[in-house]
Amino acid sequence: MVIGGEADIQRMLANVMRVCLSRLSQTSVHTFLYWNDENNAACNLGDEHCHKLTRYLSLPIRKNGELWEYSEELEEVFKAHDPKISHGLVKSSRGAYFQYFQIPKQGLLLMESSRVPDLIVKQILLPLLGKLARSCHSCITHEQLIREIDARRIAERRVAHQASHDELTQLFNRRQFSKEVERALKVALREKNYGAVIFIDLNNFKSVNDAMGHHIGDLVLKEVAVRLRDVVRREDRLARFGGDEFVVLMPGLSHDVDTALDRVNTLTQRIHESLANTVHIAGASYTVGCSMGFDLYPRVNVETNLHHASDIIKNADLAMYEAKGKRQKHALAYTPSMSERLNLRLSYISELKDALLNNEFELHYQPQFNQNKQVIGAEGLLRWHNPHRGVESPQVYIPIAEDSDLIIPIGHWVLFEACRHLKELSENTLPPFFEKLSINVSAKQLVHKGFVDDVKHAIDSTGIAPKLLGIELTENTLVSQIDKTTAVINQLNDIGVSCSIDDFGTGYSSLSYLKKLPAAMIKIDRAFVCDINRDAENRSITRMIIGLGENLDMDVLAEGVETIEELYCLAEMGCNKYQGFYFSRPVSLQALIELFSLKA
Amino acid sequence: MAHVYAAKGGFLGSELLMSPRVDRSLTSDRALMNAIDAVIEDGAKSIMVLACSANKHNPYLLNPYLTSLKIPVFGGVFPALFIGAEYLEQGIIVLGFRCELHVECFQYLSEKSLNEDLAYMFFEGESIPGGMLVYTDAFSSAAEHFVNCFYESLGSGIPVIGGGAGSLDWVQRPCLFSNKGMLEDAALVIGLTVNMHTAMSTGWEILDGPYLITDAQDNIVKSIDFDPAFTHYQRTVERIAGVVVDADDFFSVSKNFPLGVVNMDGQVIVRDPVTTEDGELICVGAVPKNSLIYLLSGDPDKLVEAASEAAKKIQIKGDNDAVFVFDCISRMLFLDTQFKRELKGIQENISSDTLIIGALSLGEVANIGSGMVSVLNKTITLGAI
Repeated sequence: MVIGGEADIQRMLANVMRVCLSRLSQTSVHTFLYWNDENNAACNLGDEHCHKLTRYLSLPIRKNGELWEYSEELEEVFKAHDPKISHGLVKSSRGAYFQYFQIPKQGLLLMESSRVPDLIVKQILLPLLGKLARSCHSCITHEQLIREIDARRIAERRVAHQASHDELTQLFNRRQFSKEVERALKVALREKNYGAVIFIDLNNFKSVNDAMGHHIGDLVLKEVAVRLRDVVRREDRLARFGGDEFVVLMPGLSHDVDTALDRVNTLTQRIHESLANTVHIAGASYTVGCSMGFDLYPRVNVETNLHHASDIIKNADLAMYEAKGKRQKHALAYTPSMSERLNLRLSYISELKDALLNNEFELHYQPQFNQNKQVIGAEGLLRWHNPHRGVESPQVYIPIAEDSDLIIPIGHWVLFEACRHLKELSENTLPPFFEKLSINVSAKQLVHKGFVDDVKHAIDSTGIAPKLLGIELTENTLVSQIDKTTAVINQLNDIGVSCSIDDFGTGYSSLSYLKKLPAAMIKIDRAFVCDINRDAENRSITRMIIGLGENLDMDVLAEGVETIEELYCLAEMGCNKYQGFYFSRPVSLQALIELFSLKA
Repeated sequence: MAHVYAAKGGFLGSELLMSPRVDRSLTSDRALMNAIDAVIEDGAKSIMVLACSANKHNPYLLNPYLTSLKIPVFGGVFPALFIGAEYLEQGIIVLGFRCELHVECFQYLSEKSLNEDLAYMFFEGESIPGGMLVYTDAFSSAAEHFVNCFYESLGSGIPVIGGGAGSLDWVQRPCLFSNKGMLEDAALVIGLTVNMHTAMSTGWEILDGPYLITDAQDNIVKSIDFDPAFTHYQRTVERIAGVVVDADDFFSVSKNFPLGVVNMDGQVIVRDPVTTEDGELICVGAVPKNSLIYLLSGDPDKLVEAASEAAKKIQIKGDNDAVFVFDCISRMLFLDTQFKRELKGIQENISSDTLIIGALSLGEVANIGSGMVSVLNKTITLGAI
């Protein structure tokens, strides 16, 4: 169909032009084609945006050492040709003869010779122009089709890329990464070698994102992706799992497990070092750091006895989670006990939810006394009769509740239960020096939206006097979000509810923070009370805390008083409020009522 | 251009050229190096080296030397050389130029696409040469393709002469001298800083034809007038000239009866069939399919006369420092003992002050009538500066 069977228009025309040069004894040959400026390509006359003739190809490319592209002679000849006639002859000002032939609807063929061309040249070419035109048309159409196909292919590739890649970092996304792990797992099983999946979670990213905005956060993530790309091996696969989580697949590590572990540790060390370096964005510097966990594969799922890619990723995630919890700098390898702990945790979460539904919680109280052994208050302590495991220590389930956000509904229950109990206590006779009933509140609960309203609602619905209710916050809870906690405590103070700083001395507060906090009481941690009569260091610390309380106009209560010697020592130092086994263990509401009756 | 008049016995040099160093013995590699050193010591800024294939120069010995040279060197190994009317079948000619010439070297011709390399050769920020010399490896399968691509890049308006280097045993080996060493499957292009005017002629005449090349591929003619090419050729020669053509001793006859393609300008482009295989004719140079060809014959007087005419054309254009000649080896093989007449004919028509320096080449390169640079056979090409 096309001359020479060549679909590329440039090659097709070049072949024709070479024949003109050699067989028709021409000095040079030039082709002009109709041109579409929009897509910068030759076009068929009649197509959209197609009406301008442009020099397309010259053979040879020069004359007298100058490129025909810039030739004034050629321009002069082109302008002199008559577009209305099918062929003609122009003599240039330099004395060369240029024969031209219209290529119907496609362009113009211009041939140079040093003398008047023989008639035979015209006789040979004229019958061929129709075929040349058809060839040009076919080639141009073919190229248009190729362009469309290419454009479509590019679009499809883009879609496929988007489906498998994270838009921000251009790393694999979760879905594609899972496929990569599946593939790698099959290879590992076949070739009997080890690979690994490393889970990376950025530290401090949330604070950067919250403080500087998502735009800066995104730039940080992109920088992290770049750094990870730089340190991983060529055969490794990288993905962003979402948020500030990244995963690395390391296939083909070794047939030997120790060597595989070494290689993983080498890479994680490099990752750690790379991400520990400051990130510079928009003139500011940020430090992120990361927590990492990994799992080697193949690893059989003990339940299904099969290998699952999802298990490997999950295990690596779990290991990372533990590493984060332990604030571990080095990557932690997954062990099955982590899954056991996770399963236990998941069981607890389920059981805690049931506990709320089935009313399995109970509030007990540990009374607080003054130096005259008068009851001045009580601290509410959660108790749980877990039908599956019996009576549970709060140290087991409270961290789980805080992690899973169940602490919010649990805390809500404690608040309302304490207010109901306070109501009941008030209806019986409260001891004359009773000041308040305190409940522990977690950081999450404190900053949870509507907490102050909940407190108001609990007070209003039970009709208790607000001053009888107190909340206890650990030192770290208070200073972790100092501005927010200060605002909440102020709001509570405004409605008459006071705040105590629990476990004082164990946290990271500074004197400037303490000055800001509108707390009514400092509770000295039991660690400093224990054997205080024999421990000079504890005495020093306690003395300091008592002094602090005096200066900041806060009451001071010592927790964990277990012996009379401790009591005397504390009293000598000027601390006159106490809580501990010496006085009473935590008791039920009923027992507290009875105690109050006795003391009354 | 002012030049030093030759003293009795030799060209002593000019403003552009130095007196050539000629060794007529079977020159060793060491002797060649010494000759080049001597020319450099005399102040040459570029060097042309022509050597006879009989010297059997060793690239392994020469390459470290050639690559260490600080000035451009170019040239080739040919079956024979000549200087003036003197003909050398062994020895060397080393010619120093007093100016630095631009030498472009193109290697691995048969292995890669040449167009990109050639498209930007010369001219970028440089002045346009007044003429060009081209040396090719005659046995490179891409030599003609190179010449075609070369013209497509160079264009018309710049005179070109050149020739194919190699030896008559038809074995391809390193045959070009360059700053990259002795090369094969390569080409050298030298831009001259002075204007060159050229002339060419063949002297071969049409004996019979035309015939239609009904099938051909590059330099292989497969069928003529729908007959197997060898059969047609054999029959025609036997009919017209009464000479028996034997496939086993093909060249001894075919050298006397080449083919000729007549172009639109009426110029006869000679194509030398050198061997036959499977009923096909293998020529030096491409023979296009569907072209009309003629059977040519040669008369020694006509050939000599053609060479003299070419020399006259050159001389008419004025006094020259030197005339470079590429004369086809097959003319020498045809003329045999009469070849000296050709050389004498050239010398007699060129001023005695002009250096005549040349080589017997395997194929020639020159501009034909339309200006196009082509590979030629059985032709004498002269370029005068």
